[in-house]
Amino acid sequence: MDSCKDISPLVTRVADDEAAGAERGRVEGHVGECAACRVQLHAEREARQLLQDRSAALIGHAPLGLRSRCAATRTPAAQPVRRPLPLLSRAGWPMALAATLVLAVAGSAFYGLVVNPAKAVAAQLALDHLKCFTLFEEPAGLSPADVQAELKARHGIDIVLPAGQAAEGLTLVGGRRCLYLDGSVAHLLYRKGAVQVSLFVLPIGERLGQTGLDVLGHSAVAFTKGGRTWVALARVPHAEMETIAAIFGADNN
Amino acid sequence: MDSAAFEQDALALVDRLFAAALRLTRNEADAQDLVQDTYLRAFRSAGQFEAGTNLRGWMFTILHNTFLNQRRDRGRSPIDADSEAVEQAPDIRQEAGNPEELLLREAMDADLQAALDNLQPAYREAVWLRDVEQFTYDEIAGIVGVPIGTVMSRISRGRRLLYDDLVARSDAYAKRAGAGGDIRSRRV
Repeated sequence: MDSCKDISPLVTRVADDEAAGAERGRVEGHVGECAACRVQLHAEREARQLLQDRSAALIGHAPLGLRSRCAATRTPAAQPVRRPLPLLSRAGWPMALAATLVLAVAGSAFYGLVVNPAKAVAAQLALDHLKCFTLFEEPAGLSPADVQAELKARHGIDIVLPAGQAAEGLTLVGGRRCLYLDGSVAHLLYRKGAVQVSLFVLPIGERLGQTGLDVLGHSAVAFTKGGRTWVALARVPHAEMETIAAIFGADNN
Repeated sequence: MDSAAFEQDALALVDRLFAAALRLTRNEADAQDLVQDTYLRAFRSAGQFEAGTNLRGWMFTILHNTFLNQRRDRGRSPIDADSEAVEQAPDIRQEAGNPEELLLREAMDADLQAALDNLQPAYREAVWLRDVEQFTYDEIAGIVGVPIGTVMSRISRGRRLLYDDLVARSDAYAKRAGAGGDIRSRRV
């Protein structure tokens, strides 16, 4: 009789009805004599059958809106990129941003539009702002020091978080690494009363190109400190956004 | 394959990819992030996909690799702790049936979900890809990036652990109900 060790790899194939002939005969002969392998074959068949029976329910449906959000990721980066334009593939630009802008510029040539790179970046940030505030629960008692330490330890993003905003009514409610721009952007989430405010910190050397602009119903204000460009963004009038950005920039500008 | 057809076929997989992502991350918000990032990468790499080859396997491979990258980069960071609180239950479709069948289905699905979640990630993924997604051993080896022998041992071990877990749950259920029962008798 085959040893259990020899038979073991074949048991799965028999449970899956993938084995035939001599292979199947070896397993059937063995399990007729070996209780342990008989139980193993029974267990594999039962588990497999159960999962197959319930596969439709287990798969279920993706949450509402996920499909459209996934579809949105195809523009404009969905088209195959043969060769980036040299001007926009310069070193230092994150790859995702470069691809986005390359295709946006290529598209603009076709449609006769002129792309605004600052607005393209701000639009990405606005989308991330919406996504993060929509998807994630807000923890209580989040410490700026913890967020700062984790950004550095986990993602290599070394920044000094603004301090003292609490006195101005701004509360830190979350910190994440932005999935866009190859994950090199820190995304800090604040609340000012009912207003959701995002503060993005771009990698060293990157600029937004404009100090203030409106995009997708949100106002964005960029400022520089610590050698980085910071972008404050919220769905508020631009004048109010300027005031909020001044709070962030006030402590060590 | 033209890009419109590619996008349409890829987006048709969103339910399956989300379900698999949920099994990988065990967190709905992270699963949504993972699926979105998967599509971002897939669309960006659309030119590398060869028409007529296995799009489903290609997408699952991207999902798997994206998950590994995210896990490596993010870990279980306090920064992302906000996402941990998000409910994990997927939106499960209910088929028609009498009340008893529906009750049993709900109980069994809950047990199945819990037993799957109890598996170690490598076993859970192998069992899911084989028994729920019906991928071949070769396809799973390609998706996960391990030898076929490893795939088969993970499937074997994972199924056994799943079975033992379900039997234990079934025994507890039978004790509570004051009746005998095994996992087969509860299958509906």
